[in-house]
Amino acid sequence: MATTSMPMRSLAMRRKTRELILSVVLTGMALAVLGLFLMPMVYGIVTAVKTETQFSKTGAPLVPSQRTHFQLRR
Amino acid sequence: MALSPAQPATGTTNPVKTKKSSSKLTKTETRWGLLFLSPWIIGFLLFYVFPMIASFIFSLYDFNPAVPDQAKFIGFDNWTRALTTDPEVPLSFIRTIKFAMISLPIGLGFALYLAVLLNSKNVIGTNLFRTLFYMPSMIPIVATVLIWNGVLNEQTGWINVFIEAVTGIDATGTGGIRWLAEPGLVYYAYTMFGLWGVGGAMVIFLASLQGVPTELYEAAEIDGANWFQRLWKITIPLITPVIFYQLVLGVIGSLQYFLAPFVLNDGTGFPEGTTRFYMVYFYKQSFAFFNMGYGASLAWLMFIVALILTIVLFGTARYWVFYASEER
Repeated sequence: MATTSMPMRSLAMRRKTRELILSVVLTGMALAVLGLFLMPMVYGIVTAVKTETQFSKTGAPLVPSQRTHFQLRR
Repeated sequence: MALSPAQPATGTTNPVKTKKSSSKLTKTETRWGLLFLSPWIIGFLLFYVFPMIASFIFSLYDFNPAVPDQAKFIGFDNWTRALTTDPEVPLSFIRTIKFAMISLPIGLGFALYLAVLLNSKNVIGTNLFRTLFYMPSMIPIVATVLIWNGVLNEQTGWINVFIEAVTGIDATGTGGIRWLAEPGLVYYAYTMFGLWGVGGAMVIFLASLQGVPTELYEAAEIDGANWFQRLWKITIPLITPVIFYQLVLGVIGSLQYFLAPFVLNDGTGFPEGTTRFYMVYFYKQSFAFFNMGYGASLAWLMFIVALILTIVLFGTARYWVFYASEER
């Protein structure tokens, strides 16, 4: 009896582990696709709070930010 | 009181009278049925049949809505012009078909992929994912096009910034990827806009996937079939009616593709005329040049083409669409 229950338990464990890994992989995949899919929506929201200069400037940061000016004291 | 076996169960009822009263009942029911259907019938006649007849009549006239008094009957001249002398008609039609050949498989494939992914019991939070994937479908198409226009901007668009950051390719700036200005890329860019609208198709695919009997999967699993075999031999054949439905809608929708090129370029066909689709050309003729008669003949031609394509699709359905209740 003990000899049969051990492999059964290990089989069940292995199955559970496999299902857990599958869950993590598939949910991760869904999250990655969702991130790409909704990226334009985030762009829309971020753009809505940017000024026109921030929006059209090449190389500007993705999030709204003001250009900082420094003046050197002589 | 028990009836003797010789007596009919209906007792004193006359069969002729029964027939009469049942036909009277049928008539009353028909009358009520028609009464309840009448708003739809009136709407159908007023807003579908009548405009279709009117547009056919327009197609036989040289008709400018700005000067309706000068409308002149010209027979099938508009149709002859569209079918033989106007080179833009076949060109715009070819462009539309080219775009449909790219966008339709990608759109349908993506919707099916999402449905299969979100139908899996292994994905955590499927309801939330389904809601989030459906969400962009609720955004008006014009807003969708404008947002994607920004995302695909060659200078500041996030897609180019992302590509540059990940691959190191010079994707932004003057030598960057011009998604909306490069003739070879513009159809793919428009396809990306379209992907935001896959929510509806995804929900329909999900419903059909949930209708597949689970015992088939269990039997296949016992037989040693792997995930791909189960998908290919059970899932896909059983949801072919829904794939067929989506395909027919997709083909008709692709032929009517209009809004994105119109919002982005005012229907100019930029870049290099590649986005002057059939419906854009139809719009230009009808509402920019006011050739309403010619526009009506173009609309009718598109209707005939869509009808033929739909009939062809229905003809092929017997070879690849499987209905559960069907006997072969």
